[in-house]
Amino acid sequence: MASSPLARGAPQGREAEPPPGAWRSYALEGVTQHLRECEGLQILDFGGLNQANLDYVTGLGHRLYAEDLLRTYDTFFSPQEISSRQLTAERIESFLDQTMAFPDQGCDGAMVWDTLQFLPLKMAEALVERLHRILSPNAPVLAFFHRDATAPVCASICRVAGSRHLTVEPRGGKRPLESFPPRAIERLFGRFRAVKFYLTRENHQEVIARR
Amino acid sequence: MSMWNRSKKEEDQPQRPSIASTPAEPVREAIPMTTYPTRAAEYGSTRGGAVLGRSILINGRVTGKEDLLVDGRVEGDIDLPENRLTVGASGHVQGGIRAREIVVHGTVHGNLEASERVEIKKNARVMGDLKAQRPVIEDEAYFKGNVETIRVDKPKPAPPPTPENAPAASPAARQAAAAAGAQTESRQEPRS
Repeated sequence: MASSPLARGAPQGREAEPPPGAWRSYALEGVTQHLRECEGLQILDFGGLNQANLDYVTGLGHRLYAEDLLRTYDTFFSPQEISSRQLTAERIESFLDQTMAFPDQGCDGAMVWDTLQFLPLKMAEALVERLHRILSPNAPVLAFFHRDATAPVCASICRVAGSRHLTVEPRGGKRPLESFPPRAIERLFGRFRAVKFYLTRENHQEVIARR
Repeated sequence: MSMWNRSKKEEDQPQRPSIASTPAEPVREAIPMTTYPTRAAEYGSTRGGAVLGRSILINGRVTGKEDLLVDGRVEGDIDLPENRLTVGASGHVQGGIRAREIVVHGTVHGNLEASERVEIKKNARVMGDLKAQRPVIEDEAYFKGNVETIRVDKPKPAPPPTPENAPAASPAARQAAAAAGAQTESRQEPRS
């Protein structure tokens, strides 16, 4: 992929003021930098598509594959499977085949937002393993984790606001969370080349993992 | 002169009673010939066009040169390269769509390709790849697939006749910007 110091459509110089309540996201900034340095990438957004993220990725000249992983999870698995959080390896594999059917190393970046934490641990591990398989070397994965996993919370709609800010709104009902302390996150992305952590002011753990 | 006037009156007079004498006859202009204008307005269309009603099922390829509103079911590709296709809230398309403009309120299983705009409205469901100059996705729409924008390279306008290149930000200005936390990224256009 050819390198371009100035990506098309990228905001140059001083950015507009972020909307009120937007997070300063260092992980997003890392992803933005990667997207600006390359052209024609295939980026995955597993938080469901929204206009802001669509404009962000396509504005930088890339293709965006969108899938609302949690919504598909809710319809793919039976209520019994979801409430027990006991999923067989075959069912997990089948779910991943439906949602992440890409050739090996066929994608160049993924934004999973806080999705991993709302999935059963086995599923989250299998999903990260699948990401490792389908992402190209050095591709970034952007994820974040709620630090307080003691009570159910709503999943988030994350919208990119500029190259380094996110607006985050709750969506759907409250869901149980898996607890992911930093060590657990490191283990989760154990096969990745590098994992960087950022703690946001809102007490969220942002992660950018490099394949 | 008088004859002329009389004959004019005679011409006028029979017309008035004839309208008044048939009050039961409906005025044709007031009869709605189709429900499409109502639904078209509902979906924001300003022009007339064809409608596939809710009970209509088409199994095969649809092509044409007029706008189309699909409220029924189409199992096959739709090709309206110069027109607008609207998939109504009860519409279901199982196949690819190619049009100038595509608006989806209902369900589409297939790829969408528009030379201008694709709009996926709230509560719509689209499973397929999307290619358009201006894709618009509303919140609460379900979309699964790839999105690619078609770039139209417009000729660049000539730079305005301003004084030489704008002066670079002074160190003080840069410091102020940095202090304000709004540091510009060093991605300015290289000066020639």
